Amino acid sequence: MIGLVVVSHSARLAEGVCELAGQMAQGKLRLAPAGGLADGALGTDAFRVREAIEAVYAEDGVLILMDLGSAVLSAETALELLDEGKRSRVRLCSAPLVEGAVAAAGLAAAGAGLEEILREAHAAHSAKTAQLGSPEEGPWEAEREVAVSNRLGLHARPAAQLVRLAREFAPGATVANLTRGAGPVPAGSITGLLGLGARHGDRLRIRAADPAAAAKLAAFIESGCGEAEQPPAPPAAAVRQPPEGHLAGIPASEGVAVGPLFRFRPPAAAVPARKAEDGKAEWERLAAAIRGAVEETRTLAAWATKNAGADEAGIFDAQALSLEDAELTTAVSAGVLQEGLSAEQALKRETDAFTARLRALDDPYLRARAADVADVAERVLLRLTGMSEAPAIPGEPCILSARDLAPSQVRDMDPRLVLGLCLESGSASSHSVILARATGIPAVVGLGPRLSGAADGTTVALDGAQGVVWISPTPEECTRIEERRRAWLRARREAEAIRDKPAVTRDGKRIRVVANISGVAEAKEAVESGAEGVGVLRTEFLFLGRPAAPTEQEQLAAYRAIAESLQRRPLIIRTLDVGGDKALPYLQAEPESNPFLGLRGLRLTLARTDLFLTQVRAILRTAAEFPVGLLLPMVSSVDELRQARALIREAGAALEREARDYAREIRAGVMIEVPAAAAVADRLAGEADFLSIGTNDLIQYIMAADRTNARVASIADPFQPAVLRTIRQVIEAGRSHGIEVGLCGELAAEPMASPLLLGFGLEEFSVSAHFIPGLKRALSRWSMAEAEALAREALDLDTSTAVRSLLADALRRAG
Amino acid sequence: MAVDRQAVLAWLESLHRVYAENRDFLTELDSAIGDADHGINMDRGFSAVKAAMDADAPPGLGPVFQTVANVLIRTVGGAAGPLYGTFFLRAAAACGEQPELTPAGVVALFQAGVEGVRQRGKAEPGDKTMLDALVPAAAAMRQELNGNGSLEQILQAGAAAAEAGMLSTIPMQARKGRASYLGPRSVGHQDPGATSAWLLVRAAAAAWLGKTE
Repeated sequence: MIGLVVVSHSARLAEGVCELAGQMAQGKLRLAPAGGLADGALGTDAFRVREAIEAVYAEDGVLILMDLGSAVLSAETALELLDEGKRSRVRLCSAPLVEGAVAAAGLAAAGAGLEEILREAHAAHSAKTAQLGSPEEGPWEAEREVAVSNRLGLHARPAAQLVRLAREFAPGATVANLTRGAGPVPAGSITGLLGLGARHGDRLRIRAADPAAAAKLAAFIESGCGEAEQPPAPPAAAVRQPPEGHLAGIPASEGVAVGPLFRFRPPAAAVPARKAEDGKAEWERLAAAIRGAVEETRTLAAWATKNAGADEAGIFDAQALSLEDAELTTAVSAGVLQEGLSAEQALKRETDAFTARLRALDDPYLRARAADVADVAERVLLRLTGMSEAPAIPGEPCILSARDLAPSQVRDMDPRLVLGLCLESGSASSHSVILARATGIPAVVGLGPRLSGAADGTTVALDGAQGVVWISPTPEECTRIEERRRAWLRARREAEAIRDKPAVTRDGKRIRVVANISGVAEAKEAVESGAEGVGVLRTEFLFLGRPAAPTEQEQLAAYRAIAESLQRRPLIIRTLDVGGDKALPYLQAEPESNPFLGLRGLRLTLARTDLFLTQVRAILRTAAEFPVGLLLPMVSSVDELRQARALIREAGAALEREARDYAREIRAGVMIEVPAAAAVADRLAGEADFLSIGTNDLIQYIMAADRTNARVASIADPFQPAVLRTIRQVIEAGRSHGIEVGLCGELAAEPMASPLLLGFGLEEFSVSAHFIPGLKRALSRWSMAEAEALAREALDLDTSTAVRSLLADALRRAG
Repeated sequence: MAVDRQAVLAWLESLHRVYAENRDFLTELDSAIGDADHGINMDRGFSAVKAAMDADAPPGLGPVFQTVANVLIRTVGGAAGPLYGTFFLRAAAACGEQPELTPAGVVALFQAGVEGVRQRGKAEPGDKTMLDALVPAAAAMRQELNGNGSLEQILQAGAAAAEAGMLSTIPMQARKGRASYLGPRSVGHQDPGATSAWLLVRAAAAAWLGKTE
């Protein structure tokens, strides 16, 4: 009779299994546990295993059952420690520990031989699978062959399903295409599976360590990988079809437009030909971009599941899987970490190689998948490069559709050529959309991929105020749309007519309307649009995209040029407002997991006083000649204001010593853009010369919602009661200390918000130059009495929806 | 130039020091992608080796390596125990009755040891394991030997190849062991096993070339 050894990390488990097995053999079998380490710790010790083998050794042989991991390695090692003569009579059994031991004991007691027991013990858990169900049948082989049943072959969607299954059940499984001699590739690799070029009827060979897993994978492929119904149409039909009729999106920029569709295909993102200086940091940057793109792709997939059906969603699903693919990430990271390639170069090289492999395949459907991979790679590249390329717009007027656009791309658009914008992603408050509004381009965003299949030249109409897009509208619809467009254009012209008149409420209260700018060109535009001054000069443009910080002289020249073009109008210069998310090489910022809550704005310049002092010196020198104030961004406590004041005095003292011209007194204001600053606005107002409410960030911080994340963007609604209360409280704090309070977020330009802000007592609105004529017109509609009544009523409401509907009604009544 | 019993004992002595010094480093590497015990395990194993050698070092190279293997198998715990244990078991077999190792003997020792690890772990280079350091090291040593390289050249080539191999694990996605559960998150981390393997080879080069570690 054979002997039996039970190896486990746990001594108690090994003994317990021996007890169970011994009962089967009614004391006839020699059994030995080999569990744990000598000192009683969990673990396995090959010598213990050898001792157990020696203890039960018989000429009939010894069978060893193990739990897992190092138990297997230790059992194998124990064999090596044995005499060669004995070794040939010992077998390791891969059966599950308990079932295998019990079955082996029973068989041994019945007089079965070693090889027979080994074979039968393998099948020991079939009783359990018979009871509980398993797709498994037939011999326990870890290799299976199946034919591809999917009519379109193992394309992206079924391959993605197979990857999911393989990752769950058979991490080590491989698949080879026997018909085409491709592979084997890991079953968990989407790029590998697609690279097999498996077409309908091709024979695939699956190998897995676990026979049940191999069988499961085979059965899954045979069943069509979860595609219950085979697509009846030839591959061409799998191309996405645009839906008929109209689409609903998020209203983003007011206006009506109709014209031929032009789909913006981003030019291949620029791949900088630079070496990465710090491979590790470069890989982190790339990994973050990949994670972001995966998240974005998954969002698109979820969206598509709900709105466009499983077919569409499957493509996004497969795209996300390609980005997480082990083969691809290893190849890409090797490029970055070892060859010193930039993230862009490494990603591009490897995804190009993969798409080239796909394009070389026989199957037209799989060849078409190369575009999906290129597409998702582009999504990562755009995250890395920041979407800087300007779209090549045709020379004729058109409606532009795109996945998303960078602010720089929108800024350069000519509203005479780009009549309207349709964006797949984004929210109504992204910077691109703000710019579209500023430029006067109607826009609907958050449309999802539904427009992506429509051919260029298709007539498309949109209403940016309602968030509706029509594809191939009927002639009657066209007539109605054209009419509305004319009305919209008329209203725009009227607004421009009152541009140069001061903003006055109906009952005669003067309101200051000033501009937000970031450069000389915008300063000129502000003057042309009728701005009474500049509420915020964002100085980041001087600091971005350069290897070293701008010198005092450079800054002085820029501030002087801007102040000059304002022709004695007041200018508020905001000090540098960047954070860890912006790559300023000379900042050497530590990567932050949450830059939004990190070292940004004044926090950063207080940590880098060299930058701050240089900038303040340039501002103080400009202020010697022009009416200039200084604004501190991202203040969250009185203490920070005091530190900044001390540094401003220090800069002044230095200029004094150097006998330069500078402003001995400068108005210093504080941005109120974090809830903490709003909460202590009364204290800040006691020490600052003015307050400026930055609603764009303030709303996001109050609501804890990212307005560029389409899934929570609606939470970041400026009409939320929490936001309105905060704004009013800040305005009150300023008024009670007798200092000026301005508001410089995009909320200032929102016509619906005008009466509310007037009613709160706001006296300075700071907006993009393009908004100024429209804002003046909107302000002139109201009397203070009306506005104050409306503000009181709004503050009494519980939801942003209720506030919006109150304001919409009031706006309608006001005409 | 040859490697005698005294040189082997010096190597083992230095390994004890090396793994003690790098205990936290290895554990830190392992905490990124494993169960944070590799440094502790290696230190425990080679401390036990040193104790065994101090107490009663056997005569002859083969018995010395056999004892090292036994101690490691008993004391390391975790997969490194049987893996490094197998390395020294095979090393012991490769030494046989030789009183000292010629350059060819040194290469044979490493090749046998590495082959043992490969068989035991059922892993291959590229899986992000100690084999990524060991396999290139053994190959480089063999190549130097075939080119009539000196013992010094052989050992230096081995150490350099082990180091390069260790660094090559950084971009790899693990396919064996606990790190393989992490999938793409294992990328960007140096493999602790490959690192302890490099330390092993480097210590041999240092000890046998008369340099101190």
